[in-house]
Amino acid sequence: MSWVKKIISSYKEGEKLPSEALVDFFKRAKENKFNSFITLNDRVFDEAEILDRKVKEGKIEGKLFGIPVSVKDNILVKNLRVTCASKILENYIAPYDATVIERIKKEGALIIGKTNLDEFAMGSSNEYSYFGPAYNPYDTERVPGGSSGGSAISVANSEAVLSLGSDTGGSVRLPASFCNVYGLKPTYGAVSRYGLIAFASSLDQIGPFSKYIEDLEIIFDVIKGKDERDNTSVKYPDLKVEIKYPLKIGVLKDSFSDKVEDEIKEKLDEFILVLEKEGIAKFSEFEMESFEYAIAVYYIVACAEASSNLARYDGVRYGFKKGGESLLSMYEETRTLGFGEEVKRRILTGTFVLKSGYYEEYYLKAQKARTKILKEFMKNFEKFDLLLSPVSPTLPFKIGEKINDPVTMYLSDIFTVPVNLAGLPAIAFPYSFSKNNLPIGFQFIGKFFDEYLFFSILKKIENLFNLG
Amino acid sequence: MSEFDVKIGVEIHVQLKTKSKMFCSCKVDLKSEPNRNICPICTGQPGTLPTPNEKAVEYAVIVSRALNSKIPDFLYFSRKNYFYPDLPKGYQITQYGISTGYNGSVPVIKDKEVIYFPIERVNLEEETAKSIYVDGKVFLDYNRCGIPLLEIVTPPVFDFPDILISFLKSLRRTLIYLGVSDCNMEEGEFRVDTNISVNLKGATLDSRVEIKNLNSFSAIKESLEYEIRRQKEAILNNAVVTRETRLWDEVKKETRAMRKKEFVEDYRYFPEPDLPPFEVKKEWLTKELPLLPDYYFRELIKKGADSKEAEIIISSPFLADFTLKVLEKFSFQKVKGWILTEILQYVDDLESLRELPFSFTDFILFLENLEKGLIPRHIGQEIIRISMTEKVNISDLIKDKVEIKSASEVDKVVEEVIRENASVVEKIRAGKVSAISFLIGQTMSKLKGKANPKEVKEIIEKKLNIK
Ligand SMILES: [Zn+2]
Repeated sequence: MSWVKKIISSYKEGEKLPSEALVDFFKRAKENKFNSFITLNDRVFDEAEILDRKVKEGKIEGKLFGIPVSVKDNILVKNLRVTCASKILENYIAPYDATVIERIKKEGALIIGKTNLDEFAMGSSNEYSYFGPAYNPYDTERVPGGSSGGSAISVANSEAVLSLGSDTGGSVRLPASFCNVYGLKPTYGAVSRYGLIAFASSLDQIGPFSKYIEDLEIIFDVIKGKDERDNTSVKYPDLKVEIKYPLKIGVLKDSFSDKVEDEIKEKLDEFILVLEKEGIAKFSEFEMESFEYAIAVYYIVACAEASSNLARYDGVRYGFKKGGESLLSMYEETRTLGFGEEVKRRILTGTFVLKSGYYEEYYLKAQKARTKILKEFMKNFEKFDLLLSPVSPTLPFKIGEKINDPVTMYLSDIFTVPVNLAGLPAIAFPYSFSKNNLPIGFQFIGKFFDEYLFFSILKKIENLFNLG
Repeated sequence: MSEFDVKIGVEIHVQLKTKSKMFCSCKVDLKSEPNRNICPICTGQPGTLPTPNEKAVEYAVIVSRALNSKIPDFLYFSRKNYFYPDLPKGYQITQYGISTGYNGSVPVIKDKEVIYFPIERVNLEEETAKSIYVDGKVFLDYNRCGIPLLEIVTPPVFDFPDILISFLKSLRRTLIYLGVSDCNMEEGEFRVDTNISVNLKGATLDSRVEIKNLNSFSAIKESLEYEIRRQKEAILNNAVVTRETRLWDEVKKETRAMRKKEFVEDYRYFPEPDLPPFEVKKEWLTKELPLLPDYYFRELIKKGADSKEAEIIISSPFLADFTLKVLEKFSFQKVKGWILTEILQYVDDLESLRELPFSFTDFILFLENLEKGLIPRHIGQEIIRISMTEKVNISDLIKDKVEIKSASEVDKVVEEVIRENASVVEKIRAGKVSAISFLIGQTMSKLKGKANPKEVKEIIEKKLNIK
């Protein structure tokens, strides 16, 4: 089923106008029950009225015509402020549209607002936001996952039909899983990063959220593909997906380790059994030697790049500024007061690992480990069509539970970061609920450009389990 | 008397004259009003990404080739991280680890010989913004920010300021010939930082002092001479020469220490993750290079110029080319006076000479007329003067000043002269052929010099049936 198509057909049938369809979404977004939005787009109704006229003229064109989309607040939408959930960019108005925004606007999307996140996308719980934490719609005492928490919530709570987030180490997949929606982390280079405020350039990738798998495919179709302004973007190959069922799927052995909560393991077992029974897939376990180093490698690479990417927030040209009796005092005060604790922790870590004398020991070594991780993945893809694991080792945790223990917090991403390090695509999909009614999701990991394989198999699974 | 080892090295920054900036499509134009040629990319706005200017990479490869450097198959950029208000991203995209060119050399002309001095590396990077200081405040002009910049570094191989100056002049000339930069030093298009260490002979102590803020050859020379003196004196007085950066004070003619940093800057270089490594295009490596100054120098010497004359001529790539073309038709001896003295006396800035008021063909015509005797020397000098000072085409002046009589007019006058000088004609016919010059002189004077004496002679001979 496709919510997008349903809405567009309601325009075509004359049942509704875009501005009418928008009302309920906007109402919920404005209510902001789970603090998913940082900024609402005040002009969205003006934009919808333009589409209303097109409907009346019979010109309903565009894959996202009149579809309310929310955007993580680290992606630039021209003339809307973009904060990165940081005090340092609290009043920064975007001077241009990110490439993905240009593309969805061209297809008629209505941008409803900018969603909450961990400051500069650094976090797994959406607690590190200058605009306050976001709350899990299934249990408001719990986190929605991060860093794209607001995006996941906005889709889960029907504040938007689709959302764009970013995934550096799991920032799309973890909140998708915690909020019971789909979240895609595309192949590195498949989607342009131009206009995405960089956290870790070699890992960052913009990814969409949706309630239904077909809708994820629709928006991915729109945003994917080479962009001249992003030299790391690539031409998306024209691949015909021919799938022979049953698929061979490898299950990461660590999915059943004692670090993973029992309820998640039980549901994973159940999922595997049903798929085997239905003839959709055959499963066997695989091991990854480099798995246990992934978190360490990730934090070296991500922090190193972040320490450089965040150097531009210095109070000279834009953003928050403080001090200025001397140049040094301006830098010190601006950055000390402008950044939150977690961001500063990562800048310092990154600065340390790039220091001369430490570079070889940390950064260079981490880069070598990345190559090894990719090789291990590729070796497994000789045997398997897809790989499977939980998204998170735990159920959505309580707000405040891990905030004073960064290392435990970092372990939330244990299943997601290896994918970013390898540049592979992965998708988080909703599967079931715990006894306490908390969402449980899993992820498929594919080879480069396997996104359409994800869409195919998940359409089958969505039908089978009546998910979404 | 103690003997000293002097070792001087240089780091040169050259602004490339591409149409657009290094990583965005903003215009390169430093004459615009401040902050006119800027965009989200070159002002370091959040979310922006760099896209390399291919022309700048091509220029860097071409410079590397012209400097006889090795060029790797693949290149990549790195980030040099430091905080400064003129650096909008907090890092400069530069080359580190791998350079566009390395282990190159620059030919330096010394007397009639060409000596090669080594170049360590040629790096491509981006320029910073321009800081403008007004009333104790700092203003920033980002028009300059992101202009492609070449960094050319030599090892410390120069032992005298003079030889370094020759090297810099040769390098600068080469870059001008390549057409990659105008290298205007006052405008900061060719900036030099020197480093110098003076030690007692045999000592290995490295006390490197860097000198910045040098925007003329005389400043480079004077600052080095000052530094050598200062460091020698310090060593003789057993004082310590601190490893530091010093600034040249053009007014006081001395170097002084820059405010000391409390720590050594650590630039935390790492490969630029926004720009994947890229292949050096074959066409950049095979494209024919423009002819370089040392080629012109050798050709001029071959044609008979001495090294001083050749060096003057090659200071302008235009003049070098012009002269060599002229030398295809005339000998150096015949034209050197006209070019080096007559023309160049009216040229103030030879290096920026890019055109003359007359074309190459006009100048050839001028020389031909001179040779035929149609233009007397002093008239020729007058023609050049007017042409150069009033920017008038030489061929118009030739018409103006030298009205050449037609053959029939000459014919008529010759017959007149023959009639009027019957006795001289008699003598010639009797065998005193040398008397013919009298008839030529008479004819020329009747024609007021506006004829070719050679032609006049031929006509008289024909009329008198001599030879
Ligand atoms: Zn620009």
